[in-house]
Amino acid sequence: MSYNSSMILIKNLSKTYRAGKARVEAVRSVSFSAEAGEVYGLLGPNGAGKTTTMRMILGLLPPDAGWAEIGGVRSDIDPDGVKRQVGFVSASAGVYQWLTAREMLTFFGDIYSMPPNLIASRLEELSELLRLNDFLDQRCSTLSTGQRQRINLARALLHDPPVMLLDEPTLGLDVVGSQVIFQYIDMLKEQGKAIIMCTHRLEQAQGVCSRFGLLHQGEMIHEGTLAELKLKTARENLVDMFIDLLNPV
Amino acid sequence: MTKRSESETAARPFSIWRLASKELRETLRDRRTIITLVLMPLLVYPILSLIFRTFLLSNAQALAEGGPRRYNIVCYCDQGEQTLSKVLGATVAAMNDLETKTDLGAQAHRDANLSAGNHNANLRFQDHSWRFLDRSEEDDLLALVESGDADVGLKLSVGSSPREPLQTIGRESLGTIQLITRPDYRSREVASYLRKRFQALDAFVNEQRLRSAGLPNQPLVALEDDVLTALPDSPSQATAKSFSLASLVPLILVLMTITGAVYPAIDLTAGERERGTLETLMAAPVPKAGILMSKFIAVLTVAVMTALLNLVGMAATVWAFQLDQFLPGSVTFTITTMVKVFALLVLFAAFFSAVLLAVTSYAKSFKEAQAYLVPIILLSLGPGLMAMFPGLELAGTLAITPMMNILLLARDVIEQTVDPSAAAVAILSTALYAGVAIWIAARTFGSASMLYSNQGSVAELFQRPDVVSSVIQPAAALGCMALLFPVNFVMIGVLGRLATDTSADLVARFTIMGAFTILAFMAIPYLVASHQRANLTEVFGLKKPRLIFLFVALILGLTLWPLVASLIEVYGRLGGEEAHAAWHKRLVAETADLVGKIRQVSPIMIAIFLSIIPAFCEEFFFRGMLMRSLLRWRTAWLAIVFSAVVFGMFHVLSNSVIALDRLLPTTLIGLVLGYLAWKSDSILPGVLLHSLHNATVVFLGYYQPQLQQLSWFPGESQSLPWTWLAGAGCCVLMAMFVLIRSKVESDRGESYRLEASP
Repeated sequence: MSYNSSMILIKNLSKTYRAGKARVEAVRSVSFSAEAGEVYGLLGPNGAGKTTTMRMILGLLPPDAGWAEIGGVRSDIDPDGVKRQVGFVSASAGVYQWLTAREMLTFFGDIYSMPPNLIASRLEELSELLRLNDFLDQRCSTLSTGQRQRINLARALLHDPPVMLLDEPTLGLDVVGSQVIFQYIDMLKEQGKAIIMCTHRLEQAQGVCSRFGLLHQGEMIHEGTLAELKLKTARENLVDMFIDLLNPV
Repeated sequence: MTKRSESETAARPFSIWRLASKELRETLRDRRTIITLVLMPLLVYPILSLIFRTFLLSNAQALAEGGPRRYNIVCYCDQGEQTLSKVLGATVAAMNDLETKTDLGAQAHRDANLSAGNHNANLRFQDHSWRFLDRSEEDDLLALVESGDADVGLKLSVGSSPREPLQTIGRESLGTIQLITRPDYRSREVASYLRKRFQALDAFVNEQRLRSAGLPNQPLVALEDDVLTALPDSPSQATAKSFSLASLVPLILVLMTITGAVYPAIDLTAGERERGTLETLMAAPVPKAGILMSKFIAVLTVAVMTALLNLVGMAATVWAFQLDQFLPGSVTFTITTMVKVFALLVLFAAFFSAVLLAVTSYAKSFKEAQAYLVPIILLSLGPGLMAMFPGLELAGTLAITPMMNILLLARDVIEQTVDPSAAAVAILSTALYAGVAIWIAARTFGSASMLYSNQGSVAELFQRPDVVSSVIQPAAALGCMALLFPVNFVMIGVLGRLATDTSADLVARFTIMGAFTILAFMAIPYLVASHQRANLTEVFGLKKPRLIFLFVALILGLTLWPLVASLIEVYGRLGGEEAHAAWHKRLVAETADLVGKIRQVSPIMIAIFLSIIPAFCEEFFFRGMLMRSLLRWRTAWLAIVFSAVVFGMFHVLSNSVIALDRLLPTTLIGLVLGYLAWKSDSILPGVLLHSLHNATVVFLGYYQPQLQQLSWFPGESQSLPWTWLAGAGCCVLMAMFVLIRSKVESDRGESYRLEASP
């Protein structure tokens, strides 16, 4: 019953790829949920199926079985309805090189059907928050990796979505840069957004995430709060749990 | 949350144009686009024209090296051959003096030879081949030049009292000379040579005169404006000898348009994917097809801009370098021609941009896209170069060969020899190909396999959907329509080759026609629909209709023909009384011929092949697959009108000539059939209407002799009596009233929903 109040609800998501003749089960019947004001850490080694799960939640990939529901809307039935409620940041997200940061953000406001005055006020708010003012009118090709990622975060937040999907948002950033991003994520949590985050920065994730799901080879191995995980795995921190995952005794 | 709801209430609808303007802005800021767009035309044409001139001059040189290049000059004088030979003899002598005795003259002589393009400067005036015509042979002068036997005709008029030529030279005017030239390079060259020689002689003689006797300056010969002969009778012969600018110009323009479109097409698809912006775009609530269309608009715009700049650049170069004078063939660069060529380029750009997007949508990276495009561009060079072959006609298969048809049509536009029906076929087929390419691009673009997998295969494009759907996508129906077009065209071609003399011929013809009709309008749509796992009853509207609709169809099927006949009559009168008489005569003769032929066949055959098969098959596709798929996509009216217009156009092209008089009536019948099919949610009443209508028209002709014996039946050449028209009109109105009042049968909310397969 508690599932019904969840902002994000994932039920038995499965996906199999065909690689030549072989079949790779990228995601096997994964289920979890996240509430508003909660950061859910979807963790796991490379190839565990985190990114595939994210893409299925967003409707970019059709699941073979199961479904994802965002704010009561299922992504297989109304993908646009889901997309409207989600801000998506991925490590591979690029920027439009020949546009200025402002132009790019305005464009995205446009395609989320925001009226121009709302775009302008949101832009002001976000550039204050994410400190974009210095480079807002520079061409995106001149921006540093950290700046680009902040622009991408702003892009995902522009339409003020209740749900954020963050896939390795700190990839390629230095310690300070990723620190800044984690601070923002903390802030978003305070604002009451439901967030799913994939990351390899386990120590920082430990501080930000309220609950965790440990994926391995497409399967959800452990799920729960840090305390629950500690009980289940008899390990003190996420790094040790991870090492156990990769080297089963 | 408050902000979100505020943004939702004030939300603006998704607009392709806003998306496209962003794509364009991005592309146009990219310096690589700018280079192909601006720099290429600026550099390419001057360089090309330089190469061109060099080529032409060296060509002339090569000819000169092969031996003296004598000009053939044919001369005529109004005072007869003797006077002519005397005058020209004196001229030649004077010219000899000029050429040998004075430095100035020798220089001028060389200049005249050089500037006329003849590099053999040693040839003297007298060395050229002179032919004198008799006084009775005046008409030959023009004919010899026109046929190419002579390079230039020289017509000397000395007036009624010929002076002694030897006295004349140096004293008084010789008379007037008129040069007769052909509109080609060689003739212009000789004319230019002669004019320069006479001017030099004039200067020389006048100088001598001034020196010896202090006589006043007086022109020796008065050179009149040249007379241009008509083009040679068979233009292909004259243009066949050398390649023509008329086929080169479109090829260059088309290649440049391709060049302009390639970069943005790659950048906006594979490039975006590579940079990681495509996924972000896909994560936004915008329809995939909308994103693709915006990219198509952007690529098309850049391609068209390239085409325009190239056209202007080329026209300016041809004009500035006077290249048109260098080339044979009647190449004209008027504004109208340029506008027409530009319109063709726009069409071509649309077609090619769609092809490019279909291919680049498939690529995962810039490099991969380039690897795909190289063979395509090389492949398109084939038809491009083939279109340069002189003597190729825009007809038959060539008219539907992509790229080639546009190139040949552009050539014809420049040469002003456009055949309207072939042009229509070329334009229509290219537009259809563009549609198919966009459809393919839309299927590939943004699909999961394109976004993520590393090894998408072409087979995925034709992958069957996993779910059974009640209707097929409009794109599939439109793709099917594009496929029908060439099939229909081939059928027309095959039928055109069949004899129609004996009844056996006719039966064979009917059988082939029937087979093609079933293949084109039933088999192909059926295969497409079953491949798409669609519910066939739903796709083609094969449900049992309510009785009232069959009744309406019965009435309309029997009473529409007088209205159609009067519509055709009205169309015939559009061109004025005289044209109408000729048109009417032709129509009556054609109909009589046709009816006379089909009377050899049994009425049952007629009913099957001219009424039932075409009616059922055409309804199957036009009101079935096409209209019903569009009904789901857009409003009923748009679906009805669109399918009716397509229906009309297919009938217009049903002969090798364009039967424009059929367009309006067929489209109108298509509207009625579409409306009926929409209201009844079935094509079956339409099948009844359609076959009854066909049967009525055909059998009225078939049994005309018997009908004529009835006192109340109108005569052969008479128009329909107004009572018939009024009666038919009343019936049609009544039937339409019943139809309009009846409810729409389909409950689209239910039947158009997707159903998961069990």
